[in-house]
Amino acid sequence: MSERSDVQATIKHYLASEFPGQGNELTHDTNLLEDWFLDSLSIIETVMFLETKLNVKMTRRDINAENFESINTLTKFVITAKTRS
Amino acid sequence: MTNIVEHLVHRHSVDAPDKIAVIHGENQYSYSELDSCINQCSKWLLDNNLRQGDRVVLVLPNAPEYIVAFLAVVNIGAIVVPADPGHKADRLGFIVEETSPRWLIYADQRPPIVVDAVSSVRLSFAPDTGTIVFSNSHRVANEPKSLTAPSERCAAIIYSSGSTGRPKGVVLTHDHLLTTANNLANMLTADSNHRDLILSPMNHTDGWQRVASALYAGASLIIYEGLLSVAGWLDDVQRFKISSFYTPPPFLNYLLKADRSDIKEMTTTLRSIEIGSAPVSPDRIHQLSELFPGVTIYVHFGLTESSRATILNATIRPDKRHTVGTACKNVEISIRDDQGKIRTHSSQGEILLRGMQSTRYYWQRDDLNQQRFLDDWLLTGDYGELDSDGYLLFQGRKDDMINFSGFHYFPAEAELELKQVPGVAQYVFCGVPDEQGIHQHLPCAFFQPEPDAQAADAGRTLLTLSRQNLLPHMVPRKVIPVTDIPLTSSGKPNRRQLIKDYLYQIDEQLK
Repeated sequence: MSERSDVQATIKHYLASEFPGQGNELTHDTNLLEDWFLDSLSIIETVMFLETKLNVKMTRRDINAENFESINTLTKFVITAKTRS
Repeated sequence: MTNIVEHLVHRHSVDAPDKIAVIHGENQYSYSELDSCINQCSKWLLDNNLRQGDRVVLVLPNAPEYIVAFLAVVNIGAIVVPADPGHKADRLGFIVEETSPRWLIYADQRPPIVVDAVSSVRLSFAPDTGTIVFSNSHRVANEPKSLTAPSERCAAIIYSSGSTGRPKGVVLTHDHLLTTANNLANMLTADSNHRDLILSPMNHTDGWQRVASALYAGASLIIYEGLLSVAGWLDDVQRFKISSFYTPPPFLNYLLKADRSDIKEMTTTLRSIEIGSAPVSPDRIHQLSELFPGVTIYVHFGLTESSRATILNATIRPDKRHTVGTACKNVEISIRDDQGKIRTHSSQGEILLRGMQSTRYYWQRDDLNQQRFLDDWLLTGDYGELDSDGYLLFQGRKDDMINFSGFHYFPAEAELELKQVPGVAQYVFCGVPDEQGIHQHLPCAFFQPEPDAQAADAGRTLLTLSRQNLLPHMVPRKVIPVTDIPLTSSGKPNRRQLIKDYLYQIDEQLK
């Protein structure tokens, strides 16, 4: 599997297991804030997961609605951040 | 007559007009600018028929507009009814129906429920000119119902959960709001150098009273902007030299878990932290004291009817960290024991409150006004114990109230909104204790599938409908199929039995 699909799968598994049943179906394009209904505390938990398990640092600027739009946008952020560091 | 706006804004706009009152993102407003915006807003409302005793529903996010609209309404003797922008149509519709407001003020999009029910208007700031702008004014033909406020000093009706599932409007006067603001400012020893970071929703009393106390002290308040995160919080504390903030316990748990070695050096301006809404363990307080040495930690107990009834200074009284402190100034606490006797110390039972901070009325609810008051005591429905020193040990909510991360509500409230679920014969909501100790309770739904339905499909439908119809904090974290819903002797669902059986099963699985 490519790095991209690894990251996608890791994030999807985390969201589906920690915040189950948040919508009909969780796909890589599901809108996490509007359709998977991540609330403020879920976002904090997800940030901590990304920082500890995927070893990326998220600054305040990174924690925004654009990056949290979907698994795909989060994956893109993680891969870019890893390339940067 | 007390006018809270005089104490919170007018006097500072005279004494210290250029002092910064509110910071939000890149925008900041001095006390004189805030005063001017409030006056503009009051004028528009007066020009548009708002009169003393009329209600105004605010559907506004945490932003300076909320503060301006709140104070502009109460400034002319009208009554604010805060509503959460995340409210589903049913709940907002209920609030509109019960309060019959003259106006509804919103920030972004007009809530669809109100199109024909109430006159509405959009409020926004024009930061470049320092003025407020009313737009999209939409008037309906029907006049608001003629409803009389129980007190001419009435300032706000704040809706909180009801034990029957019907939200109840708690009536607060200028005196209530001002007394709490004064008490809180004194407790925090806030002065004009104080800088308060607002993380909590202002449409809750806990969040609003932090705003009011900072303004009362002539201090600066900084409204957190964007998605809440530890990084964002640290950024604000350092950038704005924050001296104090209030939060329910879950966020503090994240701070304790955060892998930030720089947290101490970035928070040197912090002088105090206030925790409330849900119990916090002595161990957590100890951990916080270690993480933030020199910072005073306060823990409060309160409810919408009496915000911050007790406060504990957990830093100077580590021996009392299992309690929520002693009664605030102008608050009296007593305990009604099982025999119905009212005692003031060394007793256990229902917590009773009275004084300047406690409500005396529920809006349009004669039934509750009869049931929830005993002489001038408010029967809180909470249970606790007063020790011989007058410190209150909070023991829990009456009945089955769910406390998810500081959001308190009764199961019936979620069940009433969700109504019928296809494939599900019956279901009940419960607050299952959160074993990780983060949320206090995790909302769970136990359901009995219909005989011809697949449990997995029925559970999925239950979750989907919950997501579509309920507020986020009411949506179950788990849906658990059961073969039968046990009943109490009076025929009500036996939630305690369900939770007990469920926890037993989990224990068995872990063995």
